[in-house]
Amino acid sequence: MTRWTAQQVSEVAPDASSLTAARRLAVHGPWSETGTNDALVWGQCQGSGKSSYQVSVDVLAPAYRCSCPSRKFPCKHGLALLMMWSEGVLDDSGQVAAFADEWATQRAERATRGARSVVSDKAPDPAEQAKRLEQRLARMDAGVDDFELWLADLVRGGLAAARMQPYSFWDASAARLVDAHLPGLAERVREAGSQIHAGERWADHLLGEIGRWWTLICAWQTRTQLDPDEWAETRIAVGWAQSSDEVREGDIRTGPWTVLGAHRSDAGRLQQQRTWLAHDDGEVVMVLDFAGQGQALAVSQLSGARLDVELSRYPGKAPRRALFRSPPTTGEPVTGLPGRTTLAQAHGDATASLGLTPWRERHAASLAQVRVVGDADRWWVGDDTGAVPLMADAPVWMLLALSGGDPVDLFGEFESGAFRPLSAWLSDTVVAL
Amino acid sequence: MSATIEQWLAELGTAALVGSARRQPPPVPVSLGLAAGEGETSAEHRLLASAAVADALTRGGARLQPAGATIHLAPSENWSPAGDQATQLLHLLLHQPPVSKSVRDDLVVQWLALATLHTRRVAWRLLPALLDHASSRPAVAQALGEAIGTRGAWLISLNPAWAGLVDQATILRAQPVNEWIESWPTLPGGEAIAVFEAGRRQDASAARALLESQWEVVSAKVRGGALRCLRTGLCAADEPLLERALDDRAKTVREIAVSLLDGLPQSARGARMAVRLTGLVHVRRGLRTSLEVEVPEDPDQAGIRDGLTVAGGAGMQPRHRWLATIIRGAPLSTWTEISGRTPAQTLKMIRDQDVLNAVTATVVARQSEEWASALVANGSEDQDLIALLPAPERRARLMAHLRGQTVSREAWLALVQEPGPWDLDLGRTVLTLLARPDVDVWANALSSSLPTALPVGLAPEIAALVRTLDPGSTTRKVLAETMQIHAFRTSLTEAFS
Repeated sequence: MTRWTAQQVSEVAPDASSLTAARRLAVHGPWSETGTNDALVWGQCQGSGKSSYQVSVDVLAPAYRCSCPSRKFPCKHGLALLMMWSEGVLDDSGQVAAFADEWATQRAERATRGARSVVSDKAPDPAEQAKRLEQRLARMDAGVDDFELWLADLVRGGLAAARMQPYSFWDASAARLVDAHLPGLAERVREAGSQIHAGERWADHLLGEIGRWWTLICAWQTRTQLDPDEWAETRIAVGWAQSSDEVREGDIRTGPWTVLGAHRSDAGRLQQQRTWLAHDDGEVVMVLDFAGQGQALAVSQLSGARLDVELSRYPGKAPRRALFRSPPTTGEPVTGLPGRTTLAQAHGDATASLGLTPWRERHAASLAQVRVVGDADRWWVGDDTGAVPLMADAPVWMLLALSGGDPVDLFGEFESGAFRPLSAWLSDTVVAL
Repeated sequence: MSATIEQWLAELGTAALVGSARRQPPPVPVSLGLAAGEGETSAEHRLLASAAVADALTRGGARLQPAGATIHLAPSENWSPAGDQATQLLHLLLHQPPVSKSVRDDLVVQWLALATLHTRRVAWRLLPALLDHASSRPAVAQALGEAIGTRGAWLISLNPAWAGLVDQATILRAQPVNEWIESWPTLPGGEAIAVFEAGRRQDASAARALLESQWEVVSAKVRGGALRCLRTGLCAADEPLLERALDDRAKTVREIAVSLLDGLPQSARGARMAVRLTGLVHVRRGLRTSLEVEVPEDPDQAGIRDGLTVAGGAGMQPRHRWLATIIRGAPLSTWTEISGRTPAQTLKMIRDQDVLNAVTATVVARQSEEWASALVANGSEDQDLIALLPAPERRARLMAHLRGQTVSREAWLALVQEPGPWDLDLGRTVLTLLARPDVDVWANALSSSLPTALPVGLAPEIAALVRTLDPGSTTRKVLAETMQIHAFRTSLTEAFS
């Protein structure tokens, strides 16, 4: 197992104060019985009282266990242990400590039990299954029809009238969509309702959004005529997720996969991490991870790393969503940004993919030799073919520090007409942004 | 986008705003060659289909913008970047500080100093975090120097949020000397004094010459403020201006001149004060020869000009105050000239405590090591005097106090003030003290000095002591942090060697 970098350790911390506390503990003083093997890191940490805490981390999962009473997850002891491991000061030759071994065994047993219960569920009556699917589709059909009526009412009365409605008008419609197993569509309606008072161009934005809902309704209603990829895109847009178990055994592709860049966002209760990867032949996929409150997101992958790993791809148009079939191991890093091209070409590709994936909000782009241009509060990336504004929260100063105003290769995402840089590819290193 | 389509989008927008019940949506332009909305009978469905077309047109039709204003490129670097290990340590200090906040800033400053010493610069990717960090911490900002490289200076010039990192003095240093001198007479009062202060630090004699040339022109406030700045780099060449200031119209200016001339005992005023003092001190020979000191008579005009004024000062008779003023203004050598003996012998001859206090104040103001030693040998426990002793003498005194059965409050205070690094002997003595119970309050007072003062060579002994201390005690906490900082400092030095 490759050791994590300090950056990766910081990312699993629940908050900044835990990191600070952990940093103070990350010295040999309070620790005993520390060690590491391929999957586990363990140690005993002397607490402020008489007792010492038993800390174990499964760095592959990742999963954490500590006998301290902290409700933070991972706690400062787990973080401190990871910091020391990351610095390479833990012994990796010894026997696994009894408490760590016991925990790992329990986890393994639970995992097998879990798998068995899945397997036992997996053999349902096909007739029963078909009937359940039919019921679900009927409910979704009814939900789409209901939404169509609501939408027709909305445009009959006009957007100006809709703007006068309270938020509950949007929220109630969204709630009915959730009941009809259409959570993706519901999320869009809620978002539109909360954005309706934002900005001068609200009417144009809302009209465009309504147009997208309408295409989604039309696609759903003509689903028997869609090809499998179009159908998959429609399912993604309405929020009917493919189960990961189904995907895992489906469309597999072996690596090496190069990590292009990653983005973490914290949308209220749900943390999300998307990681873009490229195969040597140019295929790009995206791995999505979620974590609820109190859960730990999967470890982020280093931009520029080449991963020896098998990916299972979800159905849909390129670039497809994918998942890691096993924890990735890192090979030699690469420094050349795969698929890099001019801004005009990347922008054109993103536009063209709108025709295939009209409901996607962002498009990956590998930009060759673009400059950061602008002044105090308005910044663009540009080359000879044109320029595109940077997202308002883009790390402009980091980009300028790295490039000095010279052209640089950037990987990132186009979203709502702006560019979000995720990694900078310099001559000798790749920097995640 | 063609004019037809622009017009259609505008009309569609209006229809959508008021609703299809009130206004029919315009038909999708034929030029698009789309069948959108065809066969839809209701106006609202045609509007919805048109909305989908409009969305596709605006999203898909968005063009790249022409490239905006370019920025000037960063000049090339003169120094190579710090090594991986050093970079990693600075990253830790900025993002996961292993130590308390105050110590962290010290370590960042130390990192920058080591980098400057080895002509290495901060890695580009750490610059934004470092400059953010420095912008609210003047001590770190001052230490940035050349260690941020030309790239760092270039970034500062681009980001208004970092403008504060370039202080007035740096700007002055970058300017030719004459520039501020030319503009100085036109500056408003407060700014004029601030700029003069920086200018005095840059070129002491040019600043004095400027003040001399502008003396009659500037306001009393500026005369006084600028005169006070002469304390930086005060020397005999400043005397004529100070002598002139003794005749100033403004009382505040005269008082500042008097206090500055106290710092120039070899001046003409010092000589005048020596004459006054000599007239007041008499050697009384007897079983124990002593120095008898009279208080002065009412001063004449010349005395008032030299600072023997009646004003202010409660609790002391005017004559006693004049005596103190005379002692503070005269050279210390006046005393030995009168007695014909060494300072130590001379001090033994003075019985009057008020006189001794005035001599002590003079010795502290003049930073005289010889007289400080003599006063301490004479029995004075004044902390300011002890701080003036030569280091070995001061340490020996301190050790004697710390090794006693009971350690006095004064000894602890002296320890808190004793600058580091301490030698092994003193370090061990302090560790022995810290092993005693009930020293937590002093451990706390020592918390900021211990990490720099305790020698790294004592690491094993510190570790051993930490193991024996109560886990909840302040002493343990302070020593544990000391160990951590030692470890960090060691890796910092290694990273740059």
